[in-house]
Amino acid sequence: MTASEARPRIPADLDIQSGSPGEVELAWLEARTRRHFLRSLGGGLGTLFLGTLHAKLVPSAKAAENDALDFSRDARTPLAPLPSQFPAKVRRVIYLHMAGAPSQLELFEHKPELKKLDGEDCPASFLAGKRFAFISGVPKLLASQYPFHQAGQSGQWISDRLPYIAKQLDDICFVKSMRTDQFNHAPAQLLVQTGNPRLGYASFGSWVVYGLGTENQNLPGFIVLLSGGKTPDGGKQLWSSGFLPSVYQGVQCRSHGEPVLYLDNPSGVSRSLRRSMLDTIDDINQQTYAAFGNPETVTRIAQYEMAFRMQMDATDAMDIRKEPDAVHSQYGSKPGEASFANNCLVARRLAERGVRFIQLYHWGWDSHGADAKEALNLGFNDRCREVDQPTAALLADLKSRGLLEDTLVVWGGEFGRTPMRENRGGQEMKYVGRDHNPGAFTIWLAGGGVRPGISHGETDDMGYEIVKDPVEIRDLHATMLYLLGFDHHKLNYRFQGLEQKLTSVKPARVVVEILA
Amino acid sequence: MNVPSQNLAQKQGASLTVPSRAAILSRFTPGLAMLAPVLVVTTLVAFLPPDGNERADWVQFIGRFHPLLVHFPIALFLLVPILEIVGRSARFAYLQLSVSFVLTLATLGASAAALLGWCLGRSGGYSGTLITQHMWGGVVLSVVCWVCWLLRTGRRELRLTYAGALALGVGIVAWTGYRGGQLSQGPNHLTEHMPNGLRNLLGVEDNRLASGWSGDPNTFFGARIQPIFAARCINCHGTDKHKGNLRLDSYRALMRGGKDGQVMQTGNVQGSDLFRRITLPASHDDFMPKGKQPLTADQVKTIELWISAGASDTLALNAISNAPSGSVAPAEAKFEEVDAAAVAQLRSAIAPAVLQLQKQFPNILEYDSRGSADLRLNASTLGSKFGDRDLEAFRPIAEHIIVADLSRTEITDHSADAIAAMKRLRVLRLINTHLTDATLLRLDSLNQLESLDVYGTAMTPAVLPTIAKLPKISHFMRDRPASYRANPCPRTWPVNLFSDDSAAKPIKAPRIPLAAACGVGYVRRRSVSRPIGSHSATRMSPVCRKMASCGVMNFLGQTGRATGCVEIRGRRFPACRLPIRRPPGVPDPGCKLEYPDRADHPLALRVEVAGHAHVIPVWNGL
Repeated sequence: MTASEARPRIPADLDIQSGSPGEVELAWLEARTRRHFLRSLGGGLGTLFLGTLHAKLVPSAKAAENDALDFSRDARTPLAPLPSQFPAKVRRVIYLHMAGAPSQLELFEHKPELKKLDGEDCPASFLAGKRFAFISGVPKLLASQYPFHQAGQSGQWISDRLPYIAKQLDDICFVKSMRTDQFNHAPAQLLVQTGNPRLGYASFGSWVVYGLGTENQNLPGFIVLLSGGKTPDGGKQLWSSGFLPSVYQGVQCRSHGEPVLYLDNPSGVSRSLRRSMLDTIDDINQQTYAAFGNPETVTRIAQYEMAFRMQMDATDAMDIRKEPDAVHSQYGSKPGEASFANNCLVARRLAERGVRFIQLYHWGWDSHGADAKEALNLGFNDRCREVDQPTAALLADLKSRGLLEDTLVVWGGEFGRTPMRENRGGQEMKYVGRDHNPGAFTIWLAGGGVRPGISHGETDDMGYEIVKDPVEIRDLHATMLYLLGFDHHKLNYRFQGLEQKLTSVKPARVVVEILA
Repeated sequence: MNVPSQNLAQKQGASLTVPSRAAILSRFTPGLAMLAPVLVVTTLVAFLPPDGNERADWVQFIGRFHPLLVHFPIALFLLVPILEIVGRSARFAYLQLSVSFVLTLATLGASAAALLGWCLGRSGGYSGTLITQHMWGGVVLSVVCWVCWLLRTGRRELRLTYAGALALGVGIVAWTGYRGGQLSQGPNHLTEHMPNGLRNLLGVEDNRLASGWSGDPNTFFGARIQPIFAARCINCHGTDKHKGNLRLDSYRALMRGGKDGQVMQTGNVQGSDLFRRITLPASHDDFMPKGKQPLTADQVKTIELWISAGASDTLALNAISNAPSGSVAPAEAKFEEVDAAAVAQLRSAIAPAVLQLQKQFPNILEYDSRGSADLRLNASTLGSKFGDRDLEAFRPIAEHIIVADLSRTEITDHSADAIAAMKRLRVLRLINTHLTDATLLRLDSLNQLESLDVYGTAMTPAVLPTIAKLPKISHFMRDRPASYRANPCPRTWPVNLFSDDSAAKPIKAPRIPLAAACGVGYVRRRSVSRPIGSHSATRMSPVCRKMASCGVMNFLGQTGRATGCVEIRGRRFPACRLPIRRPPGVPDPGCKLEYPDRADHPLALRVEVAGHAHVIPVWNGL
């Protein structure tokens, strides 16, 4: 500390306006009394002592100050890549969210015991103290509607509804003991995507782009693709940036036409004309910035520039017509329509181009059995068909291109489904369906850093409750952030007096058992 | 205010006059009455000390009131110095009047507490140094209380002695109380949850885990059994406290047993009292650990397996193969901390060059992590704007680049040197570039390379031997472009194979036609080494089946030999898992199938022919 820094600030009541620096100093010295001296001497010594103690008493206090990760960037490049906290296994994420919560009992959870009890009354112990969305009275147990078989070298069980994914089982790591505390779609989806069931929190993709930036500055870092059909119940909040700066929110791209609305130049406007227009706007913005110094102005310039660059790259990245026919037959994609298959292919193209977080939403998995579309024995088949081949193709394609090494693919819904058949209003329904079960569900991961061909956690013989290694949503988040090279405590953002983080305030554990 | 000070003056006046013998006696009569219980308890403690055996229930019942009662004499005695000190001030002088009374109460309370303590210790099955010290502490405290009372009552200019006795008493209260706390709440109960900072400051060691640790960590007992005892049992059955005369802090003590005899019957799980007690329902009288959470299923299983395996302390750690995994707590991920100063030091040599390159080529060069001086180069986002000359600019920091993605850039074979200079590369992606074999053949110096991606390049099989020789390569990605099909493998190969995996004698062989389809792919598997017939053998079989389709394995079968070996990347494998015709009577060799490093996802099979090695590339997925 230099002498000038050490000097206390001049008391406010001294008239420092009139007078030379020498006079001010003299006035300051005159104002000092023996009491000042003694007080600062005693207090200073005490402070010194406490200062030395502080580091010892709270060893993490000093370290925490230094260790707080710096996520600041030049305002002109808010998406510039930043290194992860520690070496990362995963550089990008493709999250395949099955909105509506697919039934684990028809896809991944082989429960022979449940088959034996098919059609019997549900034991009272299953119902005591539970709330259901629609089940009332005493429902009947419902066996899996589809046969299971073991596949791959790892010999994991899978139902016959997913023949293509069955071929990729050796690359897949199941987490069969996922648990959530939300049993309605919108809050449960929010919990999965933002770590919090309420509105206003930053989504997973936003956190990742905030922490790591994105590799390709000509594309958004966080892209969201919907399969058509129904928008997820959680709505656009699922890819909102919450309290994070809005540049980190997910960009929802359309599956056909312009990927981003109004990205193309209007007819009659050439690219060079657009350029000169942007240059002029930039000039004006520069002047504004020079006058007011508001960093938001710089952000605005950056956004215009990015939109201009995206005109070329985004259109190219989304244009799956450029893929050969062999690839289309592999994915089952048909250019020009809105489908999960097309989105999977786009996801691979985006992953190749260095997009950090690619989020796909499929829809219609809410198999209550209230009508044919959401019946396990009818509409559910269509859903399986829609996602099975493209998902498997995406895995195989990423793998053959070497991208699966550092890409994390996640597949799953927001909760599970009951082993009981839904009996809305206490009546047997025309179609077969299951109610919501937040107590246990299955998701799977594949790719960089994940142990392939294993299954983590177990549920009871009915697939109703977890009996081994429960994994909370926040544990999954912590694990994914760990793979991306972050301690989930350190990837935080100060908002409303709290170091906000994806895993929120409850303790979260990295599920090391599923790490390669 | 006035009245007490007058009283005090009178009292002081009285004490100055010499009292008669009878007056002294009458004053001390209550003192003698107080001495009686003190003497009783001293006698009891001296002649009938606690010995670890449990006795009559009613004595125990009374004894259980010890912890309740014990706080009264503590508080009362600690009140005395406070009264004395505060009473020195004229304003509170009246306080001094109560001192004798409080001391009387404290003395009686201390002897009563000591008596109850003796009941608990004697009949509650306690023994050990802790209980002895605590007990004698209690007795000495009663004596000191009485002495203090005596001095205070006699009060003949004995101020120093009195003060000394009081100080001694306070010390004993603290020490005995601390010992008592250790007895009831564990030896580290005060420091157990001490913040690390304070712990460092005071130099208190964190021995939460270390307590009672004496086993050899290489034995099953030391590594698996003792940690369970240390965590769950030795608080009551340890060095300082051995309830039921049983100690579980060493193997010898465990085998010696407790007051009811041995607790372990080697090899006999059901006969071992220890096992019986830990598996009883928690509500049972004999259940252990008493009043605590039962041992976990894994812990019980581990102990059960160990007892049935002979309960030896020399049993090797891995001798019991089906023991539950040892971790008491689930494994936790470690987050690396970033030390800013160390990182700056690490990066100092390259930091200026990196900064300059980051300015020149924004967003493509980054450190691998915040704690690392290794670099990642991702030029793929620049695409055709990145060429040979640009890559040349990275030459000064080439050795720090560990991941390079040059996909879709305009680099050509002129960059071969620049790439080869990145000697520490772990991952190299060259998807859809104009590079040819010329560059790939130069990569033999990249001995850290784990992953190479040449998807969409004009690579030919000619580079396979070079790539196969890279010591760490485990992932190799390529597609099957037309250019590759134009250069198929030779139609025929002259093949000799080894007749078994030990003799180097090659089988004389005809020229065998090889299937035309050859290529390279990757199959990602963990390295394994397991006996044949297990999972790994089946993984190997597609490799061999591929060979069979090339005619190689059929050939082996025709020789009538049960064994044979193929060589993959310099290591030999028996081919006995193949569906070959083994003549009846020839036993299965049962040899181990070992995978060489990363050959469980072989790039190519190497077949040796009379001193010449041939590399047979293998397709994706085999």
